[in-house]
Amino acid sequence: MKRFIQRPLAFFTHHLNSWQKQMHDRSIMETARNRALMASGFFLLAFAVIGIRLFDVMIFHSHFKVKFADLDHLSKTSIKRADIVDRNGEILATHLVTGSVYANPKVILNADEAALKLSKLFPDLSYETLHRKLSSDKGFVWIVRHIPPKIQQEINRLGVPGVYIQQDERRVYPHGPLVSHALGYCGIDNDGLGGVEQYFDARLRSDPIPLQMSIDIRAQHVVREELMSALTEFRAIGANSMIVDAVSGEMIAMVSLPDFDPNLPTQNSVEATFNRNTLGTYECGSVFKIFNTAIALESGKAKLTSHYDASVPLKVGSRKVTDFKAKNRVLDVSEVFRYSSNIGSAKMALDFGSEVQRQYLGRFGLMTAPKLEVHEIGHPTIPKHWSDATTVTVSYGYGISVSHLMLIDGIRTVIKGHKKYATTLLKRTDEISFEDDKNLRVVSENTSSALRDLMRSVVSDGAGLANSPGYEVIGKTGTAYKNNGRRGYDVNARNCTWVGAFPKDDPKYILLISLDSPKPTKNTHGYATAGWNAAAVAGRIISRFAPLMGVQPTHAYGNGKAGELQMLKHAVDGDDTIDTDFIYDDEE
Amino acid sequence: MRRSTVFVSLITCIIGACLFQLKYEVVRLESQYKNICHSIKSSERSISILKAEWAHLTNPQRLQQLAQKHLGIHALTQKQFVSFRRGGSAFLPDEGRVQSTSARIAHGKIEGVQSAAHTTTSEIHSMPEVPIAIESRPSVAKVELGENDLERLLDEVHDRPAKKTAVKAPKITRSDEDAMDSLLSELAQEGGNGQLRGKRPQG
Repeated sequence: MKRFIQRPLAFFTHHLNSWQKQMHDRSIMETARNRALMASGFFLLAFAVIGIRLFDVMIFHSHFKVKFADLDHLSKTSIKRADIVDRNGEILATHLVTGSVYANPKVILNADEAALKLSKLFPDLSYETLHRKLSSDKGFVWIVRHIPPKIQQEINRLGVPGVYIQQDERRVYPHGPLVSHALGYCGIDNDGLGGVEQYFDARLRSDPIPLQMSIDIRAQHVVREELMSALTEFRAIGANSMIVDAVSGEMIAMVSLPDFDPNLPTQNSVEATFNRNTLGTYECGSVFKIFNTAIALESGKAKLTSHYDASVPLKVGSRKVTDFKAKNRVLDVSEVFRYSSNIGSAKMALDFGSEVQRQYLGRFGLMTAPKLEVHEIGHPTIPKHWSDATTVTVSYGYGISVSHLMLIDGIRTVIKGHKKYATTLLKRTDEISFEDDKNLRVVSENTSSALRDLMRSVVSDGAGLANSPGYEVIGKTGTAYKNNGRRGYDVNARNCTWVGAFPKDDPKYILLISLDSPKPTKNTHGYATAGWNAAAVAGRIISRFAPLMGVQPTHAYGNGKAGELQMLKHAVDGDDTIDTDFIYDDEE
Repeated sequence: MRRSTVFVSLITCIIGACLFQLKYEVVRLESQYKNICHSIKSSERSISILKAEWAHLTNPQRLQQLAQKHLGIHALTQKQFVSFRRGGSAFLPDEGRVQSTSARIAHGKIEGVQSAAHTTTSEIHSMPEVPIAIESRPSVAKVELGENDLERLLDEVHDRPAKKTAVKAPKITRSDEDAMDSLLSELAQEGGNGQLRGKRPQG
């Protein structure tokens, strides 16, 4: 026992002695003190920093200088998909915050009761479906998507455990089917499934700034309304139209009928979602004579005074080219164009040959698929072997299928002489220079002005249904029998197209109208050709569209003093007399 | 030694008290911030609903139908375009020129006319040829109308003495939720034909 006490005591004294020895060692003491000092200095510094910061924060209020960077984050999180607006800022697509009901079947206590309660609230959902969903062994099932606030309250009032509401967004298109094809539509999870919605899907998700389209809904409405009435008047199975700004290439209106309501994406037929403007490719008929004449004039193989014998049908290989309403005489270039002579055009094309034809068609953009901000882009069908017969048929628009977008692009190139700006569905925000760029010229000014004159003569001399007084409308019709693939051409169904622009000297807007299989009516005197239907629709659209866009009429009442007097009289509706003498004081 | 201890403990107390104060302030501000964020979000939601409803109600087709039904006004035609250089100066109200009724209506109602009203003839001739619209009838496209303006304008067109009674705008006492309900149901009901079912009281 004694040993147990003595041993540790001896151990302890030994260590105490050695420690005391060390304590007397000055250098060791010095080190210890230094360390203590350093440690205390460090803590003092730390507390001083904290103290100074506290002083700074509380007395000088420097925390108020914090910028409200969080507010940005707020706006980002609250808008999930950007709006789409038209060129004037009218909303085309926006979102509404709705609720979506989901359930966790594992938490649901009584599936029968829950299904019964929910089926009473949603008459569209059957009890059986709900019961099957709610009694499954999944952890998550959607019950119903996008319900308005009132029904959300009802659901909350039911208080079924395991049924929850999640905040959701629903894409809405306030104008319904008005801009359907250009805009496209969204699926139930707000992912773009067509048109601009699909093309700019990533952009719309990431950037909350509204996407501004080039479409003008007023113009869109005018075009759609006129097309709708044409559809019933001519009993056509489809119709489409585009208006493009001739300089900037902005698409002002794009309508394809039948159309669909993007608010109801599940109820749309395939036929209705088909965009006739960009996706469909058609043989365009006589409209191609614009290109043919432009090539002939530009390549120097023909002049406006050149003559072509159209008195007898032309035989090329096994084919025989004839004229519709044949004149049976020698025609000059302008007559070939105005009377739309196939024989004359064919002879013109044979003069410059297939190589030149292909080259120029390529430059007009008719050999490759065009670019536009939608995925629904049709590729042209181009003949594989380009024989003389092909050259001849292409000259009057058969044997080659192009989309109407390509057609309007090509016409724009011809009548403006160049294509500086590509066709677009977005409003141009950059400065548009109206200056003519020599390097971008495709056809010379002489050729394009000659073509504009020719196209004017078609409108002013012919039936002239496309004419709208004051706007000097230029245009060309094309009627093509529908190609049914292997079954050949259907002689009872036609695609009627009218392409034109206005005003003649400096076209501002280019317009395309196309009717699919229009029927003859009393007013068209039994004809179902483009000159009687598509051209008439074009005239009606231009008469409404041009004043709307503020296009000033040129030579509305003839030139000179008499014309201007007439104009003034019209302007005031004749309810006051005007002393007009002073107007002409220093007129040129 | 003692003095420094007292000083340090005093400073500590003051800082401690201030810190508490600051903490409370921060808590208060944070709750305020949350409230503001929430109200911004709910306002944004209401604004988006109202914007959607506005866009739906100002659908060109609906406006056209309403204008045809109630206003009896026509769309602008090319005959109503006159440029200043080609004689539009006849419509200027200044310098003792003859005015037409329509010009008086047009004055101030059409973009561009108001600003040009006080220019002289020589200035006008140096102007670029900008199209302006002189309207014999007010058009849907160009005239911005308020409720009272409309009444006055119609009276003026028909040369009726102006009514004294002010037209009362129908009071709209609907919540956002009602607005959204009606909008959603209206959008859902619309078929492919795009026929609108205006439910607004006509006043």
